[in-house]
Amino acid sequence: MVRFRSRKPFRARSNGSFRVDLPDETRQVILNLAESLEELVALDVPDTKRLFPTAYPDDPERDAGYQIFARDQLVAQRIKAAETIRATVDKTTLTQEEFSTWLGAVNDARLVLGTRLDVSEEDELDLSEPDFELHLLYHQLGVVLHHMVEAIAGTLPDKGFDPDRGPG
Amino acid sequence: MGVVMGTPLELEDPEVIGKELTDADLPWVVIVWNDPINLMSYVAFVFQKLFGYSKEKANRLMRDVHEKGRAVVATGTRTEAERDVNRLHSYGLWATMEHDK
Repeated sequence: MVRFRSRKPFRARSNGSFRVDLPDETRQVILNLAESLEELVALDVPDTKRLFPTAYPDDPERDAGYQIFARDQLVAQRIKAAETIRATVDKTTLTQEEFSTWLGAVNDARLVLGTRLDVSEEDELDLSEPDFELHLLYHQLGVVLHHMVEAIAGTLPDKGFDPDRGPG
Repeated sequence: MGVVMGTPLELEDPEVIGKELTDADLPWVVIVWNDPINLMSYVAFVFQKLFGYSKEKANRLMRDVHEKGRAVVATGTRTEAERDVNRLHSYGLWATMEHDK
């Protein structure tokens, strides 16, 4: 069950690390999801199709070439993510890299759940739905992700000008 | 296929224009497509993080993806575009590339 005990469960610190204030049960949900992903990406199942997108929709031959390296790399990324989360699941301070890994795992889990549930942009919770609990988890992960993005987005440099426009 | 979002964003960059004159492989466009799952704030964050875009530009591109269904987020040689597509895929975004004929 995803629960919060703080209005800001994730906070960026001035030294570049992140403070995580989550109850154990929520941490366990994140770990369980990362470990499920670790298993799922090794299989070729429809639920994970959003994790392995097509690069060249108009050119199957080139796309096959892209997939040869990309698929292995994207699978390895999820295996490494599960390892990182196993090792850091109880930590209250995460490095920026560890925090990014948590963020990616939560987003991946939403992608797989959203694919399985075939969600629409206006997906709303409906108690009478047979998959209600999965829909609830999907929405709760959205809240977790929102908090994570809020914490990390503030650490990115905002140059105040667009690279394609130049200064000013 | 033409660029539907108006002027390709990166072609105004002097460095890219310089490359364009000498590189016959240009331009490939990197397109991010709307999907019902990714959070808008997450998509904008990824654009800012991966491409170093300002918050304003990242949000503009995110809104284009959301409202128009797709946005060209980068242009370059095939190698550059493929690298960008791959980085976007590693962040779970639905990105493709095509030769901007």
